[in-house]
Amino acid sequence: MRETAESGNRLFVTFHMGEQYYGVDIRSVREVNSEFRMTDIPHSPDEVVGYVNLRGQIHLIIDLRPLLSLPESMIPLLQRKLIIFKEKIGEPFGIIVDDVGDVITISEERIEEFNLQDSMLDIPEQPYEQGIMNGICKLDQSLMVTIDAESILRIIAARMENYESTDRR
Amino acid sequence: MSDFDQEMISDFVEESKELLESIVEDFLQLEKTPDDTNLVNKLFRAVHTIKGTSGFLGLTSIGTLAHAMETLMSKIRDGKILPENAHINVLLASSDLLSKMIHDVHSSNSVDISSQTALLQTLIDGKSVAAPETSPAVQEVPEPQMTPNTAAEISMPASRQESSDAIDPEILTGFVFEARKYLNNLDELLSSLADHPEKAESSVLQNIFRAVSAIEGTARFIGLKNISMLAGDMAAFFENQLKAGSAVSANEMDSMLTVKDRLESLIDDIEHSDDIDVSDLHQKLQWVAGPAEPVPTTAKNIPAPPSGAPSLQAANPARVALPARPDPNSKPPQKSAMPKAPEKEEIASETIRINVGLIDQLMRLAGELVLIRNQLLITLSEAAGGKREVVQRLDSVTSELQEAIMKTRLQPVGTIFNKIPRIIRDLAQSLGKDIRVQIVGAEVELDKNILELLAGPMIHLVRNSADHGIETPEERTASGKAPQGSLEVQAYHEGGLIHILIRDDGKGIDTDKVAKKAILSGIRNPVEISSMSENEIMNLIMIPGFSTAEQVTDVSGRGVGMDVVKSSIEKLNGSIDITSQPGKGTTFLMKLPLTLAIIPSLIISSQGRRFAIPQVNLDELFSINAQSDGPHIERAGDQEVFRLRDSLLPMVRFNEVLSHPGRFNRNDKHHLIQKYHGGGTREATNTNFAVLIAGNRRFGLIIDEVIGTEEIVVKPMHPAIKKIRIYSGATILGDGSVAMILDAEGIGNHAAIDFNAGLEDTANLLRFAKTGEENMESVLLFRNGPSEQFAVSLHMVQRIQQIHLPDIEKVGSQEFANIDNKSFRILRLESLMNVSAFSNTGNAFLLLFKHVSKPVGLLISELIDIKEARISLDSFGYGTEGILGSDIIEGKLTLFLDIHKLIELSDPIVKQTEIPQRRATDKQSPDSARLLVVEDSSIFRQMLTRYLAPEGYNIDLAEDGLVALEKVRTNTYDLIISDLEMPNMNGLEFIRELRHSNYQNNIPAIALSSINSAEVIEKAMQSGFDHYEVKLEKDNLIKAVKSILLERRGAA
Repeated sequence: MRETAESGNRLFVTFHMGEQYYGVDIRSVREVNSEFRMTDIPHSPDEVVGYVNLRGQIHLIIDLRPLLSLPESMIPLLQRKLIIFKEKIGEPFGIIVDDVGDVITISEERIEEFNLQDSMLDIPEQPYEQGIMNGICKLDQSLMVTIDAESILRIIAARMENYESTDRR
Repeated sequence: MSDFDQEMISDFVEESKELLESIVEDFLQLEKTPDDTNLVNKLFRAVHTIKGTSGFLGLTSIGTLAHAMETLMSKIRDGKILPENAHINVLLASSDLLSKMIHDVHSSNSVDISSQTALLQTLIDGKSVAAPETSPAVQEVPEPQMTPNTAAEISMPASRQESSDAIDPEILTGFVFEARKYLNNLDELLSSLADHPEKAESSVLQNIFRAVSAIEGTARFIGLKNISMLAGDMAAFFENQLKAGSAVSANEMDSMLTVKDRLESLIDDIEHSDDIDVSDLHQKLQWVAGPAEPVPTTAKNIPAPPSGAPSLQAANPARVALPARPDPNSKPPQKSAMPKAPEKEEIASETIRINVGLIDQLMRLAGELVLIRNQLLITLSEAAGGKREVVQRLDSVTSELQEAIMKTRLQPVGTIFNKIPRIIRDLAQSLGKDIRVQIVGAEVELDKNILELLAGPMIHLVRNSADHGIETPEERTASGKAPQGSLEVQAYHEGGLIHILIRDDGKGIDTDKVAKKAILSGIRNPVEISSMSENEIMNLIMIPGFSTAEQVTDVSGRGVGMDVVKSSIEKLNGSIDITSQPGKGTTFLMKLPLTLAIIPSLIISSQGRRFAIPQVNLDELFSINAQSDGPHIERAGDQEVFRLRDSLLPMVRFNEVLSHPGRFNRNDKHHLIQKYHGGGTREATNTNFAVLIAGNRRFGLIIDEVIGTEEIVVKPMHPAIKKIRIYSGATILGDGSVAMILDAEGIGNHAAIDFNAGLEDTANLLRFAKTGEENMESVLLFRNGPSEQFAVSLHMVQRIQQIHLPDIEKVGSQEFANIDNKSFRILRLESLMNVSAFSNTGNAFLLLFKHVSKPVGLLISELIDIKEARISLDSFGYGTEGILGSDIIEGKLTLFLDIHKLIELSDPIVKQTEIPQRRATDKQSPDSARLLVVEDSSIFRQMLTRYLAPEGYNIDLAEDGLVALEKVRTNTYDLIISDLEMPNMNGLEFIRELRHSNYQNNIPAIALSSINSAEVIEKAMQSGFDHYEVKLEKDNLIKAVKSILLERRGAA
């Protein structure tokens, strides 16, 4: 991995939600999973899909769609895929995506800093997007947005901060 | 001597030679630079090391000589002695002798070292050595008995600091670990000895001897002087006992326990164990152990000779210090010199220390294996016979593996229980009580983490029982009990939980006092109390704030620290419950999970999801049959309730909780009530609910289905979502799916349960009001408008009902509220007197009253508190109709309401007719009847005066029976109206006195009491009252007064 960093190349696990391609740095990914049972968690924020048990360990599964202002997925829950992150990223967790693509190598200089204002993506501004999407990269046929795995739990926890005040008084 | 010892000795020789090599040079250098502290320290360490090891190996002579050198060196090091030529000479000569002995270590014990030690001793004593190398005959040979003294002397802070600094921390940790084990063992042994001192079994003594010897040996080996000294003293004592076969006296027992305690505290702070002066205790022990057989005693303090029993001591520590070393199969002992070896083995039990993290990992892997096995079982369920057998074996092995790993964390509760007899013994002695401690189930095992956290609460509880529960022998005899109190401590398995029970046969807990205390400290109001069972009231002593009163009373003393006990137990996912019978005793029952990680729980389902409810939070399960005519879920305000036996249980619909992510507010609750009770129809299907324990309150959780029980492994909530309060964690069920674990307290909170909803007639309010001290009044403080604070006597209040303003119906100029299908007319204070108007703060309550002729409810906006206050009504407000008077309560002017008057004022009919009539007679005429009102409560005196005066009576007041008797002697009365409960002389005593006196002993008397029981009425009549009236049944009282006076007039 050090070599890839030094040579300026990074490996990304690509996935898509709707029409959009995304990538996460392979160094933060532990595994990709396509068979799971989901237990939803009433009272959790919309971004939290639920818990899955992966080899005796409970993982929190996050749906990035609400955070990225994407509409709900057309694909049934259990036919989607899980990307599980390594423990160094945070307490056991993963994201649910429509499908997982190839692992691609991209040289560092091709990744531009993501800027909501001049991005070509037509999405309404949301306070969380800026944190999660940290880069953008032009591929042959499409654009890949890179996702910052480490920001995900932080954003969920921030959403939970308002939990007490969500009391409908 | 075994090979093992042989090996040790040759190691020692090698080490000592190295040390001695430089020692001569160093001593010479010291002569030139006597201030060189590094050098002094180096030399000190060298002789110290030689002393320690030789002593341990039974090389007496080397040890003694090195010891003496060390003592001198320590004095030099402490600056007590400045090394002069004479000192260096003696030290050098000693080093030479030491070196000689070490080179021929096996005959070292036969070398005469007395002259050399004598020289050293002289220098130690601060005398000069006349002729540095004189003949030994000149000097008195030091007695072996001197050794203890020198031992005490060398144990000075600086030297100790140094010596323990030199110890390898790992060895030290190992020693502490082992020593604690021995001490635990000692606890048990000593208490069994304390129980039967007369028939001290030699096996017990032997075991004690072995345990302390083991501590002594190791401590000596690693140079912990104080510990080895005290342990040695103790070993010596028990060795004597063993030899003499004599009984252990109470005095000696005390000394031994003191030593054990001291050892414990030294070991707890091992780094500084040698900084403390223990010579006092040591001296004392010389005396205790001395008379029996002084020589072996002191012998313990000098290195043991290499033969016989003491070698047993020496061998023991070796095993302790180097646990990994012995290999029983490798080499059998050369000589049969260690006859007790097998028994020693059993003391140094077969344990190893394992990193908890490793166990956790094993645990997780085992859990994973269980899941894989489960999947395999499903996959192979159709497989052929042969395979099935293999799968079954995998199945059972997996289960066993998981269980075994879980057990690695378990330890017997005995580790805590063993401390109890000792604690109680000391406490009983200091309190002058006689308490027998009975322990059952010390072998029951609990998770190590739980045990560690349980020790504090357990000790607190047994102390509480011994201190506040069990009475002194005199008190016990007086109440017909055996003088010896009994304290039982039990541990047992029940329902997948560990139950720990602490039961005393002491005086029990008086619930009335507890309830009163709870009201006074403001942690519960009388209305809440009235809905609680005896048991629930008892458990109030564990509420934080119960015992924070300035003065710790009999009752509150029982509560001191109980809130901490309760919260500690709850932190362990456990529960604690108190039951008590006044006069008979108190029982604390703790229920704990076996481990923190695995807890028994109930699996339920709601909305098609499965959830786990920890068994400790579960009281019982209930199913309401839709077809039956039995109790069903009712509505009390906006709270659903179920009449469960005696009490009203608030109910929560879990499906609704799941669908409402926000905490329920008033609207939510109102909507839910409309949804389930709007149509007035009963539920069509059966209703299942679980009675959950949240803190010390209970509520019913309505669920869809009960699935069964399962032992679950608790996983904490993911940190990102741990703020969700209705869960306490998550778990993986047997089929591999995840289920949420419910948090009873969190659910109760989320559903905003109104625990006071629908309280029934609070008949027992009376008893709390009446337990008030002299002249103390229980008053309910409340607000209507923003300006005034009002009070009514609690005696009057039947019930406080929360209402919604929209529910108030208007009929003409009157307002009504419907409560339990009964219509109550609403009184608004602002329309009856000149006070600020009802402030709509979102809350509204109706106060409903007892002993009133018409169903009315007083509308108020805010309940402030229940206060018990010494009230002397001032004159403010007197004259304002409906106000009895005023007083300052908690710094605020408070108006006391006259409810009867308010009702009169508000009732248009009464207002227009009755009152003017009475007003007309509101004049006292000289010939009108003269009444004596005897009442301790100033409010009541005031009230009675105001009721009776308009009838035209002359009224005299007395605040108790004594004052009344006095008045009767000096005045003539036509009638006496007397309260029963009064200070100084109560109503019954008063009337008896009166009837037996020579003054007006036939005045008719009405007893006036708030108690309405046949028993009390009969007693009052027997004592000499003519009539009995229930307090505040105003109309009846006036009727009675009238008829009695009429009768009397007629008779006259």
